[in-house]
Amino acid sequence: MSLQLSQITHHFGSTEAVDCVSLDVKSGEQVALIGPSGCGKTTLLRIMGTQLLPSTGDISLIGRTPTTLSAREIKQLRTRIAMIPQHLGLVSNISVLRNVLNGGLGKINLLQTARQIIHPTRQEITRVYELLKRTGISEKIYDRTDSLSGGQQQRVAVARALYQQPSILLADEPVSSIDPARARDTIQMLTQLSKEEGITLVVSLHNLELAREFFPRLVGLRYGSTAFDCSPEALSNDDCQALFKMDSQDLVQHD
Amino acid sequence: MTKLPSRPLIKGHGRKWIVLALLVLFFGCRYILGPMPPSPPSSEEGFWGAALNPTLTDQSQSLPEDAMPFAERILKEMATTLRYAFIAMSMAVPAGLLLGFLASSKWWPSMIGDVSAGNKAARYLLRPIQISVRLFTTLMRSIHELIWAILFLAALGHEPITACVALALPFAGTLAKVFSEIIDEQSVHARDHLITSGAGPLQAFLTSLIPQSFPDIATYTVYRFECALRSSAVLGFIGIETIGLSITRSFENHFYNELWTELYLLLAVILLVDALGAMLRKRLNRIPKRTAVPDLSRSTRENIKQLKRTAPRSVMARVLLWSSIVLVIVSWFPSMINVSTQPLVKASSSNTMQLSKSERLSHFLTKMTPAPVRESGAWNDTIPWANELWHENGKTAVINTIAMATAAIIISAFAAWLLLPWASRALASAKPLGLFGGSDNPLRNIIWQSVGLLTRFLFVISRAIPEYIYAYLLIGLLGVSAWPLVLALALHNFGILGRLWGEVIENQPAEAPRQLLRSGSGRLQCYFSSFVPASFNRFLMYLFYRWETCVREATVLGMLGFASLGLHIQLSRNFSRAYDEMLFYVLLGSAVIFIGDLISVYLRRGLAKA
Repeated sequence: MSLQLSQITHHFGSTEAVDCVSLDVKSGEQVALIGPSGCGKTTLLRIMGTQLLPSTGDISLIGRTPTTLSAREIKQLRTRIAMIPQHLGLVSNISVLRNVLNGGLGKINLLQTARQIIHPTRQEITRVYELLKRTGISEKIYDRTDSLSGGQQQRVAVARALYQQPSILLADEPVSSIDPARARDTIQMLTQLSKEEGITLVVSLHNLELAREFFPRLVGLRYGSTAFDCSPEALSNDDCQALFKMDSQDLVQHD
Repeated sequence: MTKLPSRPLIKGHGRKWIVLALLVLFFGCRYILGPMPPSPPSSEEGFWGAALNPTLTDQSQSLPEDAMPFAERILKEMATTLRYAFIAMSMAVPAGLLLGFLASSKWWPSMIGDVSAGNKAARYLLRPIQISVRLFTTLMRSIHELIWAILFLAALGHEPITACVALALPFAGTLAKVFSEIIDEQSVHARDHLITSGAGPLQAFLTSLIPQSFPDIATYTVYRFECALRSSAVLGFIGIETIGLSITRSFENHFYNELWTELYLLLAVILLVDALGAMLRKRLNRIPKRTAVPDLSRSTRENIKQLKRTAPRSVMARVLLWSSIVLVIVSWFPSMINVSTQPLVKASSSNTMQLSKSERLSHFLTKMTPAPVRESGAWNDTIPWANELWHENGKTAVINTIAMATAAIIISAFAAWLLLPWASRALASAKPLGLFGGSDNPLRNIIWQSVGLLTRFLFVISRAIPEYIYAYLLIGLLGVSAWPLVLALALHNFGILGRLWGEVIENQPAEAPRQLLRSGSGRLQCYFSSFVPASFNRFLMYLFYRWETCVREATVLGMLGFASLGLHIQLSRNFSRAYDEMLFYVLLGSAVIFIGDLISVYLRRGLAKA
């Protein structure tokens, strides 16, 4: 089992962001988290990525329990979990090469980092090149990251995640800011890579259509708790509409 | 993350009151500093006329045969000015980077979400280091480079390297402060992401925040080099052989044609550095795009090679970096290119008349101990001694110094405020803010363009000349009083405020002022009722920032002869060699600057929109 959450709760102050969620994800499985904004998707992903700790409940990531780990052990666990945040977290004014190399920092020490900044080895560069080839932007390896389009920058973030050689890949709303055609490509790429490498993939998505098309397992979230957890075939229209309905009610409430 | 509540802009009446308060403050300062005396007759005879008639040959008739010709001499002095600026910066930049790094907390183990990265206990160790570094850099800054130089030259002997170290000290302090501010302003998204993928906080800092802050650090360093050049020129006034030395000699001998040549030369070099800095800033802000994609049908290794070869690079930044490295090396070791210059360190002479360095230093330290303590040996005697000095001269000197700085910054603020619309690229144009401004008339285009260019050039020129040189010349022309010094400070800061405020206006969203123009208002109406209100807070922030530097400069300008801190420093050094009294005034000055710094930081923080 790659990811095990049982009865996880997380609250910021008095707001319950995640409320009693249980979720088991097998190694190599692909899961889409669906739900309106503010339903707790990002918080859940951040818990899976060891950035937040659950307020209550048990969590196990690749057989480790983050709440009991020392700083050093957390660091080791983190190298095996790759996250693609919504803002991508790229350094804009350095080359694509260096951004991808940054994915491997957890496995090298400070001295090696200094060496890598000054002079990356040929092996390192070749590895980055091969990864960029897989994400389709190998010709950009030496370009400055902010000269790339939004979709291309996303591919840099994917390559950086793969450079980590992770067991788990988490992506937070990877298609929220790109056009529909590119969004489809990106999701296809992520699921494909996860299949080929056997990486557990958890993606949060707004777009129900894409989730249905590419993911064998869909988890619906509303108000921080699980609304459904099933395959796309088993997902009923009522379940979907419930999620959409939440959306409009939320709007009314917030306005 | 909790964000501070954003502070509202100062409202209409608040702005009026502030402007009124500044005017009242100005008249208060005018009362303290006394009226401007009538200028001494005939002192400026031929001064302005010579501006149009600079010379390249010696004006003196009584030079020895083997004296170096004028043109060669001033070029050599200009080269020395550059050389000392390079040497000072080569010490100040590494020190500033190190101290700036220590003054920042962005590389510490920290909490990302709920989970800490690295050993949290380290923070308890790092916090005291950070605080002491911040205090240390503030102390370095709060003594003016000229005063550092006077102290060092008195303590260690008259050697160029001593002057360079004196220059480097406050510069390192300022660089450290600004570098740490630049680092702290960067977005931490990338750093936090790297930490959550397993990188250590220091690793993440090196690979994200350092490259992110590089463009700002580079452009600020170039600006600081320009300042070092000005300060290096001013070192001539205390006997170091830079261009300032010739300026004093020519002025004292009324060789005004020579003087103007020297001023033009200094101006040209500083404008050149200024232009280089502007070019670099522009270049670093532009994202280099790939133009050519090579043929990628070969082996991986070959493809990578080709891509690296054709990668878009900013050539200019590289050229600038390497040429400044070469120039720094040449400045330290001019013998490498077979240029004979003054040695940085004088060989210790066997002459028994001259004191050795250690003797000099111990002599200096003895003389620096307060006189009563030297006699009685009891440190308690310091207090009545200091008390007497404070009541005798100190109090008036402090008040005068602050009044000078305040009067100066208010003059420059009003001047810059009124001239700003004519300098603005957006407003001083035939098409204000890009809007159609009436039928296309080439003459109107040219007139507006030249108005903008001339006003901007006025700003550039007035900030290019150091305050000290303005003050020196104005004292000579207008006679000894506070006002030449105030005017000197005002002139220099007028140029700086013009530039800083101009940037504020240019960064302001143009929609609101554009709407005003569309509904028929004129350029000035648009400036006063849209640009000024929206930028008022930032204007005031920069005003306080410059006020703080004005206080700093005012302490040394007094050295030219007005009853302020600088004068007493100068007097106690030159006439009585009373280093103890000199130290008292130096410390008093640094205390004033220190407090001014704190007030300015407090006011600016209040004005900053969170």
